[in-house]
Amino acid sequence: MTIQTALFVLLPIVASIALTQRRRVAALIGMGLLSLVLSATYALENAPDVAMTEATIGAALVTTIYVLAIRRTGRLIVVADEAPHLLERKGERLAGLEYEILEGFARELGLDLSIRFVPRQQVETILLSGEADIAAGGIVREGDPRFYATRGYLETSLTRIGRGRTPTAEEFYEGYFSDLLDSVREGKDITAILDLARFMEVMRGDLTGFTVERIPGKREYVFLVSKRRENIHTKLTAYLDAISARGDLDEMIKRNLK
Amino acid sequence: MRRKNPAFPVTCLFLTAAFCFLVAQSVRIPSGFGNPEYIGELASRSGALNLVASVYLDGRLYDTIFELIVFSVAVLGVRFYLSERKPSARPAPIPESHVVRASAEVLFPFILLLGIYLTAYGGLSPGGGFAGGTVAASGLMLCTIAIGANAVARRIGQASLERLEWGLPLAVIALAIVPTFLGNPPLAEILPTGRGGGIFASGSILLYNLLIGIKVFIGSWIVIHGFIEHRGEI
Repeated sequence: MTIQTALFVLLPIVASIALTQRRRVAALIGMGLLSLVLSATYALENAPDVAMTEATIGAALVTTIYVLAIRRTGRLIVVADEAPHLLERKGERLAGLEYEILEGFARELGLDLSIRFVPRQQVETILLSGEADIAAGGIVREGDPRFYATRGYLETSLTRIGRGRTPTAEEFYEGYFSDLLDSVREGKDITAILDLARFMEVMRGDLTGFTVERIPGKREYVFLVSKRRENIHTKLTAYLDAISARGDLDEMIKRNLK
Repeated sequence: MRRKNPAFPVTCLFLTAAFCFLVAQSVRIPSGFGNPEYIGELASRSGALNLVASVYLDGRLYDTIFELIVFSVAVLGVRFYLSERKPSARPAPIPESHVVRASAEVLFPFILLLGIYLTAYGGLSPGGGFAGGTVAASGLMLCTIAIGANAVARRIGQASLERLEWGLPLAVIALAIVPTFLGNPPLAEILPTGRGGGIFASGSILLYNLLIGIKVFIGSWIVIHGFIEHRGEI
């Protein structure tokens, strides 16, 4: 078998690999590869001029332009503050219930999940600016007209904790949750409203001297979706319904929240 | 940004007029076309060792001019439609690692040199303006990844390049028409050709290759820069 025959056989194989990729970046690399194989074929068939042009345009320039095009659209951008058991860093990796849901959702859409951790109060600003598609990280929010909220995926409650003076916090904490946790451990004066997952994490430390007051009423964790991403909202809601109906959601909850 | 500029309608008019003129002059197909001798005759006439170059820059120059116009229209389309969008308001791109920046600094001159070499020696060896121009543009691409698109645009003088980009296809067409005023059919050679395979032996093929190379280089850069400026960051 000559090398030409090998390349001819390789061409449709590489082409179908490029076509069947779900992730766009992978499909793009497949296309670049196809260009290279094609270019080698041209070179061996005594058409070096065409081979050279195919290599520079097909493999280099076109690939780059596509990369630019999908750089924004090929990613599902999530903005969040860390929440224990829901969305947290474990060493180099990310883990948690929300992470598993979002990862599965991104895979279904063929997008790359990209999570940006920011201080609590910036989550909404970034979602409003359209720089992120989804806000996550233990969000308990109802009826905010600036965003789409998905259906709740887990029940929770709110607790107000405070120390030093009567807790008056009407808002969630500010900054990073990890900083808040450090402040509690060091015994600083703080006051904040926490959701259940974060409250449980705080409870693991020493809470003497804190006033703890549960805010009555049942609440649910939701994801917020930017108003500019209506289709993502529809699809995420459908995805949550689907995994809930399949029983996968319960599995995930058991696995992450023991 | 270009729509209010008179350069656009004037250029369109000029292109149309030039082509009506060329068609009216009836591009002559040599009587022996299809014979193997024709290629040999063409090669010896054009003085180019690369037969492909002697076909597409001499015997079939009008094909190449059309190709150049297709490319110009593509670049124009990108600029036209992107000019309606606001440039993305993202902050300056995140600088890449020092490795990328350092290797871009080292590699860029060589990539540019390779592009110039391919363009200039297109009449002798595989290459030519289209391949050489894109090779050089991919060098700029590398710099873009290293230091950001706007920094590259500032350094190479984007505005004057954009004007030059329009001048070049006009220059190619003007050169193609020149022979008619010397009593030859249009698209004939305008420079004396030699023998022996030197770089200048191919006469006008070298000239066309250089013009096309610069044109493709600038055009590719404009497309890349436009996409980066209006859609996202690199």
